[in-house]
Amino acid sequence: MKIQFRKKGQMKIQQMAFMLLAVTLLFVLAGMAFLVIKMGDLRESAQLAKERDANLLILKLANSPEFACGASLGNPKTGCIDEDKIMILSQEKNINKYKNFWGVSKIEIRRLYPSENKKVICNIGNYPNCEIIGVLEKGESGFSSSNFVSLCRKASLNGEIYDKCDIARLIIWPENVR
Amino acid sequence: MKQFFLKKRAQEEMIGFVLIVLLVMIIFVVFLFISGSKNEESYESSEISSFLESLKIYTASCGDSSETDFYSITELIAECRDNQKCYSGENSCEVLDSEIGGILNQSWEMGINNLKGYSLEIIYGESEGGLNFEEGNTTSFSRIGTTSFIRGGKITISLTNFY
Repeated sequence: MKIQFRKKGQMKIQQMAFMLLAVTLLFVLAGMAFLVIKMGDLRESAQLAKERDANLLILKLANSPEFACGASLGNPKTGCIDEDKIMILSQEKNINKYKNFWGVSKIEIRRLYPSENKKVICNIGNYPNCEIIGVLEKGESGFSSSNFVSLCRKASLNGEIYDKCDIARLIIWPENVR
Repeated sequence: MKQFFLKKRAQEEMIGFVLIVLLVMIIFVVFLFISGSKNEESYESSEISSFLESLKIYTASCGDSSETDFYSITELIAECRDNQKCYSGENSCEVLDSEIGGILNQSWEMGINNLKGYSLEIIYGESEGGLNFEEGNTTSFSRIGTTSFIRGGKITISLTNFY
């Protein structure tokens, strides 16, 4: 009879131990599930915030009076760069006055389409048959942000003038990030 | 009699224990399912939105009433829907197809920033059909952007990039 009671006691202790183990495991799993969901959301938010910041900085630059199309190329548009204006601005005597104005170390515009993939750097002699406009260069910071913009200019065909907009990327290298 | 009751109670406790183990296993399976489902992610991208805005303004090589009266992509999409021809005699849909194909190809190069594929859809109105441009593979990680405009009815352009 004594042996039977001892066995029953052991069984109870075993059950208790298993129960405690199961309950602990349950809480650990619930916690892990919560963490996985939260970390996923955090990663997504960080990516979105990073992209939004870069985009805002680029749009701010693209919409500044020195870059923006304004009303000379139809209705004013967001993210539209006046290529003719930029070509004049990128001349050394002009851009030197803006060296410390935007707080960036390098600004470049790359025409994506139409492009013959030659990556020709623009100058007054070959413009507009070129792809890369180096607007400002004070040395690269290593880290760059870019976004799509419209690159518009006045073009001519058989003596007739018309507005021509291409697809381009505006790339900036911030000054303070190394 | 006492032994019979003790055996029955022990059986009941065993069933209870098995039930708890089962419950924990179910919770574990649910946990695994939630962890697995987080592998599918899709979110709005401001870079794609900027691309779509630039695409809308792009000057196409298809004119209206003169050699230099070129359409923008938004106008060309509407011309294609109405089966119109360009000033040069070309089919507006063929020009649109070649222009958008070229723009996508140059703007979103496969492999750069881990891009695996893309799909651009132009939807006319609610159920009038539309155009589709696809390249590469579809994956569970995607970034999307959408823009709409009115030109003889609502037109929606939507781009999904797969990573």
